[in-house]
Amino acid sequence: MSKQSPSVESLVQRSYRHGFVTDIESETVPPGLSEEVIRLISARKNEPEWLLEWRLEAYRQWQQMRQPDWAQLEIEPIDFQAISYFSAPKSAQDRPRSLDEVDPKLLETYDKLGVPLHERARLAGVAVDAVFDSVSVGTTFKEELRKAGVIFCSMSEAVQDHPELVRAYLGSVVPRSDNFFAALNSAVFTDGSFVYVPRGVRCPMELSTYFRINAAETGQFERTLIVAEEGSHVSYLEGCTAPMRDENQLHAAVVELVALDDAEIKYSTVQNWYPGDEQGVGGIYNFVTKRGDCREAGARISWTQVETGSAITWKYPSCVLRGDDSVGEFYSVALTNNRQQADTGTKMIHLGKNTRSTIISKGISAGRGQNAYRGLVKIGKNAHNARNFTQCDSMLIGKRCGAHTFPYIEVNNPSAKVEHEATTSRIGEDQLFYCLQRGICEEDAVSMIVDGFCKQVFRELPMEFAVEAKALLEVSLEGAVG
Amino acid sequence: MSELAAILARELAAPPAGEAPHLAPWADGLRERARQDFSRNGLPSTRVEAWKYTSLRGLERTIGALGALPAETGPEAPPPLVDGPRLVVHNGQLAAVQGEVPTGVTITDLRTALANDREGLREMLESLPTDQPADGFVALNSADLGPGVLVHVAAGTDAGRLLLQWCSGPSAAGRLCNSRVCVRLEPGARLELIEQFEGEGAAEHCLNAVTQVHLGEQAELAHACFQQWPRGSALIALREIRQAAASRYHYTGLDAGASLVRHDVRTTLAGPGAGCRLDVACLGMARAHADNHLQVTHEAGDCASVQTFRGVLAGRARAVFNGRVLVQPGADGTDASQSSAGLLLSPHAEIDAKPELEIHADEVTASHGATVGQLDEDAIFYLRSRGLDVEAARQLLTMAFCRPVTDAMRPGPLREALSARLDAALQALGSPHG
Amino acid sequence: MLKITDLHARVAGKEILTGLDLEVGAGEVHAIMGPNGSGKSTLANVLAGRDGYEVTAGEIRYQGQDLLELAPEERACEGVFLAFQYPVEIPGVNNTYFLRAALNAQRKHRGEEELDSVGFLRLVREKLQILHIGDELLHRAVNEGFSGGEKKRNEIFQMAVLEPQLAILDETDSGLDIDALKVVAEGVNRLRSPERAIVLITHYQRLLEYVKPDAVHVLAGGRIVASGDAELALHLEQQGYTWLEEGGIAAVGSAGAA
Repeated sequence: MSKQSPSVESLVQRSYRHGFVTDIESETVPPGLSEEVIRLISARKNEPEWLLEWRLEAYRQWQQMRQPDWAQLEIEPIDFQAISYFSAPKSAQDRPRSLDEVDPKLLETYDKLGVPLHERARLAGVAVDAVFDSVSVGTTFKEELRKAGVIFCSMSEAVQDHPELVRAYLGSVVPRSDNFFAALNSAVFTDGSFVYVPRGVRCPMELSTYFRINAAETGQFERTLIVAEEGSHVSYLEGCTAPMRDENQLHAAVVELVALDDAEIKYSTVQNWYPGDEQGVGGIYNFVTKRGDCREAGARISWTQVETGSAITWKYPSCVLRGDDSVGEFYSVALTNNRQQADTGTKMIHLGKNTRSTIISKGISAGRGQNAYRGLVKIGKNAHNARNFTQCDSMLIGKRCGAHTFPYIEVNNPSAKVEHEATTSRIGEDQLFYCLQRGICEEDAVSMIVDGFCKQVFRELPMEFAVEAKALLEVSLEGAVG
Repeated sequence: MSELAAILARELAAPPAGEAPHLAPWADGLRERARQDFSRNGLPSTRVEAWKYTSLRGLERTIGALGALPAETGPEAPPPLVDGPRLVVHNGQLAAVQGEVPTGVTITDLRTALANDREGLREMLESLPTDQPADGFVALNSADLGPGVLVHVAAGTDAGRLLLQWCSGPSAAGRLCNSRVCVRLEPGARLELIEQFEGEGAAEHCLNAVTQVHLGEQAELAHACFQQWPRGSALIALREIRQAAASRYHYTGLDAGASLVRHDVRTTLAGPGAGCRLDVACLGMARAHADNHLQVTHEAGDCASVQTFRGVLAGRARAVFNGRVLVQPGADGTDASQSSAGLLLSPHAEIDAKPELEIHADEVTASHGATVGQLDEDAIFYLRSRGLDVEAARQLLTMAFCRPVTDAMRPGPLREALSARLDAALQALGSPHG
Repeated sequence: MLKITDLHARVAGKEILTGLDLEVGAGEVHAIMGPNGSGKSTLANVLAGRDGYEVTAGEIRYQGQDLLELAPEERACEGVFLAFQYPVEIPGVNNTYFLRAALNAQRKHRGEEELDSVGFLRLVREKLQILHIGDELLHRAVNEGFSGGEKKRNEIFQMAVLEPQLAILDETDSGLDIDALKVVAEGVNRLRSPERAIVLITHYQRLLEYVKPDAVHVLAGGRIVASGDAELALHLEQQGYTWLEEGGIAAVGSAGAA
């Protein structure tokens, strides 16, 4: 076998493309967490009493909990009192009425991110809700969606305009005390997106949110809730970036999906938070709880994620397949380079009859990256004829990285059929050689092979995102061979 | 700490008078350290990840004392599974050596070996950690170190076959017996070791057996285990194997009895070019619970490992399979594979599988496949279309399902004996189908 | 021997057979031809009693009994043999062991003594020799890792050993090279006798060059639309199946699963 040429090693470093700070005035609450801070957040957002109580109860539960340590992650201790729990662009007090009123600098930021709201929205027909630090700054295509009966707005607006819907579904999939970070989020969440698709409506366009952490020493705790009524359909995309900072920043979001009778929700994520530098300094801690509830018969929830950023990614987008004949899917690409760590996977909880789930996970480890798939497939007692197929493949690029697979399979019903396959191997030497022999440079060959390795997942992404995901992968991989 | 653990800890702290064994000083030290570890951690609870699926509540109901018992003349050892020299271990104590032990093989009661400080014994015994919460039974075993046997095979000796029969007498009822088996194969030595857990004896008792194996360079051990103890009994068995360069270890496990079984087989491929195969078939009926943990650690490069697990569960039985492949940094050229499959024959049976790969080196090929399901309906129809009735077709396919475990063995009387026991045990699972 | 009257059958809720009539007498070889989706394989599976093939109307008499009343293994024991279009792989079950279990089940049913392994092996070797099949397939698991041709040979070999009264060959000839095709033809011709009946389900006329059928039927849209002698097969070969439609006979291709 041929050894890698040393020149390749030198290709490794390239800086984070989205590492700029936007210089706009923002209003940030001083660091620290207390009931006072929560009351302040709630008051600032003009929230009803029940929501404040809900937050305070979550806070009390959180105080009783300990940060979990079961994952194989090296996490610097997090000082929860050093984080600022609210940071909003100053202009938020009199919120822009339309995109034209949005701070031009902010819009410029999105341009730099490659999210020109107008352009992108117009060209791609994507409705974008952009969350900057903690506050939603503008939603495009609102009018058009309203005509279809779809509600797509920031969580703050939803609390004001649709309190009955928020109250009915908030915390119904991820309870306040579900886990340490979900409890924290429940106490302090500042914004996020809210989507409601009424009965029988097929959402006329892809919905999209861009998240960005800008201010220093802030955490981002957004909360997303998507409810799809009977027979409806919605596809939702989220993209994430953050500027370069020396310290680790915490991103502890909660996403809840509720799919009723025959409804379908497709949730795609392209996550490119700042990963820290080659020495592992800085970077986002991406500790997110995502869960979908196929609450009624025939519901379908599909998670697709491309995780290339963050110092640590720790999340398990899951499906509770409660309704008979409901379907859960999880497609994931997770790439760790340098000192990045990822512990991700999914849980498929089969409760209803004839429920089906598919899990396709592709992990790529380069540099000193550590990449773990952790998942649970549980077939409950009454889940007759449940089916699961899982495929977890890991690719190793370099000698100092690690790839791990920890699947849990629990089967309680004899009519179930569960299949799990996993492979781990080095990037194919013979494939690489074949490309080189045909005159393709090593870097292109690697990204070509990795792209092929991830095809099954990319296929699940909406077109424009698939292109972006592929480009991200290339950037993140640069020079990883060696 | 559980009530049972507290009782056992108390008994360990105050061994019955007149029984103070004269051991090498390091052995006394080891016992004491293990006793302290056990006093601190007790028996593992389901909060410990490695014991997540196994509760010891049933054991707490049946066991109330430590079984520091002499070997009994009680019930005879069961008919041997295969011919050849055999060791009979009663209540954890070496009771008899029968048949002719070949030249180059030395068999010593472990207590004697400890008193005489046999070469290599200390290194072997001290290499086993006892300090983690998951190690409760190992700590208990080490704290009670004494009963058991040392098997030594001299370099280059082809020792043939050795049968180890585990029996319990009536006085073991309600007790937990510890036993330690140490097997050391010098370079180039070969042995076929068969452990047989069969016969009536005391139903409600627990054997906590630790087997430690050291294989020298190019040594080969074929290790088979057949277990069909009566309902009510419990078996906690840890097999810890360390392999030098180019050595071979092949474990074939067949579990078809007892109410609570916990098997750990852990091999470390410490020298380059070593290879191992761990194959287990687990049959459960009634309320049996069997927790199987197979682990291969690749420390050296160019080693190969294979793990196979087949579980067939009827009644309210539950089987757990945890297969783990750990590839340490530098273990390049590793080839590791793992396959597990479960078959549930009853609506109340359960199977939990956790096939793990943990890889820290890069020139590695590792894979695992895990399935849980039913017999293939197409295959059943095919067999029926050739004239077999449904029951016969299912029977045949169930046997075929477990076949990979025995098929991997070297052809010969042992494989035939085990295959026959396997088929008989599968038939005994009855006809809970349909 | 076999009399099918007005047979209607459904697969996954879809009607595939729509009133099929067929009579095959002892000593006869019948070929059933038809385009893809016409219901040929459905007929074979209904005859063998496969789950999921629901007979909604009509009747099948076999040697005076109601065939549909019998379980698949009872049909086999009564002498009905189906050579599968896609023979099933059964890992872990030895081919010889499997065949002996099948033969003895059938012998037991007929009140005959079971064959011991020596007697069985003698029989098996004899059949292999006649069919010019090597004995390596005896040692392998049932169909596991067999090539397409090997699987079909194995079906014919089983047929030769089990000596059925009524053999149904479901597209056993498709995808075979000339040598394998000759094995199939040899197997069928050897089986021919005044007491036995054979139904060849096929897409092509090729096999019929080696096995001369007593009758040829064309199946389309779930019914027999034309019957004739061997000439009909030749005609089909030259004209293809489209002439059926041109001739205005029942629409073809409406049935999805065949």
